[in-house]
Amino acid sequence: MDRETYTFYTTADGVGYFFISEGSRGKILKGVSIKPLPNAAPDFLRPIYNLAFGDARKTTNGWTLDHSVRSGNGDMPRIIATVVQIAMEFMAQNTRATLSFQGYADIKSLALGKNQRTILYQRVIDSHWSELAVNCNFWGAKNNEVAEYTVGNQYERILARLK
Amino acid sequence: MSATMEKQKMGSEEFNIEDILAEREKIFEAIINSPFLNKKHQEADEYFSKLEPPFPWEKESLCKDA
Repeated sequence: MDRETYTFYTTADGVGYFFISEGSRGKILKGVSIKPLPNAAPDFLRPIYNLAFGDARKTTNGWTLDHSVRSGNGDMPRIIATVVQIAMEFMAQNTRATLSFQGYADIKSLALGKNQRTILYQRVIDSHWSELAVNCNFWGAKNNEVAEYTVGNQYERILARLK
Repeated sequence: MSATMEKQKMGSEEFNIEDILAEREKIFEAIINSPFLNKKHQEADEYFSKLEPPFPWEKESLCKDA
């Protein structure tokens, strides 16, 4: 992808990542965790992993993670592009794995009192569909159903797997 | 002054990469054991455990068999 990304750091086993967001509010550490979903129903896609991320803050008791929605650092496209790159690296190292991720609640939506999720991942996927679809299969889940990913549709969660 | 307060209010911190890398093991430990992130994983597991067949790849198989 041609989008600018942040340098990220990872654990040896590829289940933890972090990178530093730099924007209008300074530097914010972003942590990414990838863990297996043992009870996920679609056998065909197993093993299924989930990707979650948040802001890391240092407290008196050490580092803690919470929701990224508060950061509003003005660099969300670069953050999402970095998370997508992390997802691609994880799948490249775990070629039989399916990775799930969820849309991202942006600060503007919450400020407007809308509890809606702006599917920023989907914007990245949709805008790079011709490139990403060459190497990956995508599915979208909504209302307890999963379907082949269709550009322009909105989903509650997304599944991706290398072809 | 106000800019500093705003940064504190938003939780932003000024740090450099050397400081972060020196604490990388603690940061990774916090990420992997994070109650916030683990709750997100649990929610995803519950969500996908409720998905109902037929799944798209099963529909494809049914079409081929027909």
